[in-house]
Amino acid sequence: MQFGIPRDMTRRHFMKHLAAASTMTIPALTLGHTLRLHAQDLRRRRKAAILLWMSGGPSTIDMWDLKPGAATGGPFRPISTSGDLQICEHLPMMARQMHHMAVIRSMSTREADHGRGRYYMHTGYPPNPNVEHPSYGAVISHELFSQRPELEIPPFIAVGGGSVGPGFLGMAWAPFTVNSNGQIRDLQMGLDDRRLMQRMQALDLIEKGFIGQNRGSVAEDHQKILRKTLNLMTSAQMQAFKVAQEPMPVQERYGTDNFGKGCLLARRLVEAGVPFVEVDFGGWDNHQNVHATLSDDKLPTLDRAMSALVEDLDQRGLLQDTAIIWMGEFGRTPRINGNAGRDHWARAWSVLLGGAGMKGGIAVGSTNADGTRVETEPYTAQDLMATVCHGLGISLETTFTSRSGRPMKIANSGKVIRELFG
Amino acid sequence: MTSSDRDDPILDAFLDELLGGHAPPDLTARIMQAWQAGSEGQPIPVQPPSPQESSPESSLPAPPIQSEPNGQPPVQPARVHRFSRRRPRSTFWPAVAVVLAVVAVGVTIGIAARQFAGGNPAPERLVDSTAPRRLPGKNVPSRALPGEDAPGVPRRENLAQAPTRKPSAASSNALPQEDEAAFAEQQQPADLSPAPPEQPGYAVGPDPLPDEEVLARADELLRQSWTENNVQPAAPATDAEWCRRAHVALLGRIPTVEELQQFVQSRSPSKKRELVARLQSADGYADEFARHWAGFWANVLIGRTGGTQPDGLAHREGLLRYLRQSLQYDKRYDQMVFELVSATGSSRPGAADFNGASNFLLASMDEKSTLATSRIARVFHGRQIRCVQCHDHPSNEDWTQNQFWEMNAFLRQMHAERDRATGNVRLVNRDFAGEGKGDAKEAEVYYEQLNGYARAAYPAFPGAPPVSPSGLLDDVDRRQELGKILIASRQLSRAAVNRVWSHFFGYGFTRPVDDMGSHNPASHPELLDHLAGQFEAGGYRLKRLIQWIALSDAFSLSSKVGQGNPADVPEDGGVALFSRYYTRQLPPEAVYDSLVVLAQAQNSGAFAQQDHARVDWLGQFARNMGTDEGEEQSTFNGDIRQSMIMMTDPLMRRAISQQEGSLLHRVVNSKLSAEEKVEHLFLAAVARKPSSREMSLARRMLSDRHVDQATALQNIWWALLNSNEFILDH
Repeated sequence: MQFGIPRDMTRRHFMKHLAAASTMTIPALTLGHTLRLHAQDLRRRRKAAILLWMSGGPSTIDMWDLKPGAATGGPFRPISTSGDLQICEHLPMMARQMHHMAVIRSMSTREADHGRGRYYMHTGYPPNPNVEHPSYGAVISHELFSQRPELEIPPFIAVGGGSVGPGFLGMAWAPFTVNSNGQIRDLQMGLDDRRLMQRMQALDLIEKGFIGQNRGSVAEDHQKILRKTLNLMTSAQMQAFKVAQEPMPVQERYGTDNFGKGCLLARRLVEAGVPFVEVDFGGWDNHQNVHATLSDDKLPTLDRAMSALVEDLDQRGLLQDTAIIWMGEFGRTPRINGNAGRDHWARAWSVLLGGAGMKGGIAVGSTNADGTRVETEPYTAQDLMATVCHGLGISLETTFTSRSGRPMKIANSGKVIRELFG
Repeated sequence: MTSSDRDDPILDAFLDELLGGHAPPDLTARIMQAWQAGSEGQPIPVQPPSPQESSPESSLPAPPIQSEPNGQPPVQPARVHRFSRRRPRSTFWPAVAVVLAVVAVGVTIGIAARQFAGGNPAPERLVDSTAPRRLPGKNVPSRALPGEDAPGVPRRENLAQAPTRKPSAASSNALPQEDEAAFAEQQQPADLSPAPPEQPGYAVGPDPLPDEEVLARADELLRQSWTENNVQPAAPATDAEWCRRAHVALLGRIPTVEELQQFVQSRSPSKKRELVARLQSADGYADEFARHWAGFWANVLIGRTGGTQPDGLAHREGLLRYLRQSLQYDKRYDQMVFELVSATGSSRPGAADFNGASNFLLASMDEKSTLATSRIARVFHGRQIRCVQCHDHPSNEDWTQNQFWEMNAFLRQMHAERDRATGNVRLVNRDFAGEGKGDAKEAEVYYEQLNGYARAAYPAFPGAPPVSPSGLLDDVDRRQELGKILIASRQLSRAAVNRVWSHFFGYGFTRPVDDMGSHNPASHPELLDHLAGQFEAGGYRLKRLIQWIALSDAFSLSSKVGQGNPADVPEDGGVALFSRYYTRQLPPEAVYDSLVVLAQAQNSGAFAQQDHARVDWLGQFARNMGTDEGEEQSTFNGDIRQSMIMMTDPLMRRAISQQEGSLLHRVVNSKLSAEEKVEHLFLAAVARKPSSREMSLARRMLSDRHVDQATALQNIWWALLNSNEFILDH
């Protein structure tokens, strides 16, 4: 008889986990051990990626591609870094980590609307009413999942939300959204085996009966997700979400704000074997008072957390296999508007890439004197995605099939940014 | 009490805290009534007055004619009616025809005068001193509304159309007399006149048809599209399936076993029609109907997160109250739109000048009213214009950047005023002096073009006659002008029909439902035009529109994919052909409200506290993106997180508990046989009886010596409420 429990698990295994879940407070010891084992494995072969998503569209001209002296330059001064490039004076801790990161200064895209820009940068495709494309997290976790047969927590985790969905890859690859505290409810049904068995048997029969009536794929999706949920809620790997277990100095190094906690959570999750984590950091839609907002609030927070993440991953030997992507929907206008703000600007802006074998410490491409135009070869969302996939060892020949049967090449046939390799 | 309830005391304590403890059973209806009576300061009318006495159209003053281009708008603009080419009902119609002609002439003169005047050049705000001096962007209103009337075809120019009273805070708060009249009007017996000759196109708008004919024509158009697309419709849904989805669509919850059985057992040939009428208007249902649709429109107007911030300007409950009152009496949709766009007054119930309608714009406030601009266009006209805020956009050929800012100029007299002491927020109008240094008689807004030059814009709307450029309230209330223009457009009804249709089927005639225009043509243009035309011709009655869609063939089809329609798979990106009912997840509100009924949780706690619990529950699944577009994301999308919340949810646990009063408790302790109990649980959760396999499993579970009967039933109940069949609308 088939039960509504995850396919690759025996019932005994499942029950063991259920039992573990009900006494979640005790087994921290064994768990730390498991995590360390995972980390060792990871060092050997596992690739992963962390996307730091700057929701709202950060003013990259004030951060990574400064134009001191230009009318559009704003008040910030550039400082030297550990790499072969300069960045904003309000990012001093990042400056010490820049030998790990590359700034792509020649991003040039067309979507300058938040919704469209978010979709485009996450998927490599402009929005299309007839097909939903999978986002970074769905694509990469889909491709890297096979490296982790024992992973019980979802392979695509979005900290703070705001990501883009799995599109035609299906709900199994949807982002699992948590807040930066890693708070998740535990499954505490407190049931004995027999009652649990009854429930699962009945559920399985009802679900299958409904699926068998051929009323659309959503019925089957529900069953798949339900299995994953049960799996997750009874998994000891859930401990990876408990950021508060980190030593205080580590928590303080990352920062105790949501973004800092989110970055720390990302590191824990990658260590536990999660192939893709996205951390949302909003508040970049600075149509007003852009510089004061950046220097007083956004940049110090970003600087502390992101530099901690890069440094920590490097020290743990994870950076060579973990790609870090820093980007938003678009950049902001070089022109400073009447409210001392900058508006949306997609034609010329910057993103950061690092880790996973990508060369750090360099600036790729350049913009003109006032930052309004890209002067070198322009790069797009597709190119960025192709580059990250290449770094992670995912073949760019990979082709998906949309639900309507249309073949879709991974990363929308983007070209790899060659300067980052070799 | 069985061992199964071990953890319930804790749960109950939690729920009591959440829901405010127990209260005498079933006070909801009384509370609703008391609250309404209280807030309106007058008893609820039971019998609407007769239509002849109070129909707003029959007592209209003659419309003032707009003879000067910059003339002041009439203080009490009158409604002008379209000329009816068919069976004039009274002497009113010929009079209207004359009036219409006069207005048309007036408007034409106005347009001509405006064109010749050419608009006064406004001072250019120089961003670059070498910039050439530019004329302000005045839109010449010779263009038809995008995607609408073709040039040369007679167009409706009845832009003086507006509600008959100047809406004010007070008028929207008190139950308007007009609403009763409107309500009465809707209750007129169906017109039994012969069908009109078919009218190709809707350049002047169709004549109103009786419900039967509206439906017959809609069904016919849909059948035609099936033939054209070579699909066969699915078999009809069972009565029980239809009953479940009708309750979900109309009331936002699944039916109770009693409601289900009453419908299924009825032998009346018109039982569907009767059920729709009952769910819309019968005692005990009218409140629920209004509450559900108020929630629907609030989500449309301000999203799921709008007005939920304690320190925000808008107050969600204030908007909901306005919407409930409007919907309960089936206020004309165009009037609602006018009120929402032109509202002034306080956001919160209890304030002296409370006007819940003000919360729409209060939830959309930003410095230059750009969010309000794009929201109004998107919500009321199904136009996505936010892309053109910054520059003309290839993905939107219907709107230019200039037109965006001309529309934006309508919204610059409004301001939010917060009383620091009480926290009360008011939406007020103030004179707008313009952004330049010129005089307020020519109050312009400036926007920056891609080339860096600033350009001025004055209030104007594509296809509409000119509006006074004055920013002085004594001259013109710009939002009232915008309201009139919006509701005079045929796009108003098209956008509304598209949206309500998509509520019933999960897909509209365009995808997304609020992105209509030449770049995104409708999948069923004739059907959309037909329903929109009739919605408009019939006086913008949402209840009738809902009735038409609920009684359509499309809504009565099975959700099973059949032999004849394998290609109709909008889930995979195809065009929705409506040849079957699309299985999809219930909206979060419907899941919540269904669980509340099953858990009998509505009986505990005061109404206001329950609302609070509901808002909190729904808040788990909605997130504001914090951008200038006011976007939000729903995470009630069938993912793991949702599944996890559902499984551990206190309300779900309560529904599964055997707490006194819950459905499970009543079933377990009833005199039904064991198998009848199982049957009852299936009917309650998934509106069908168990299959033979399910029943035989249930028998085995019930006869398990290690599990008592109550626990076995609870296990079955748990499985039902966690199943795909429960959470999916099918």
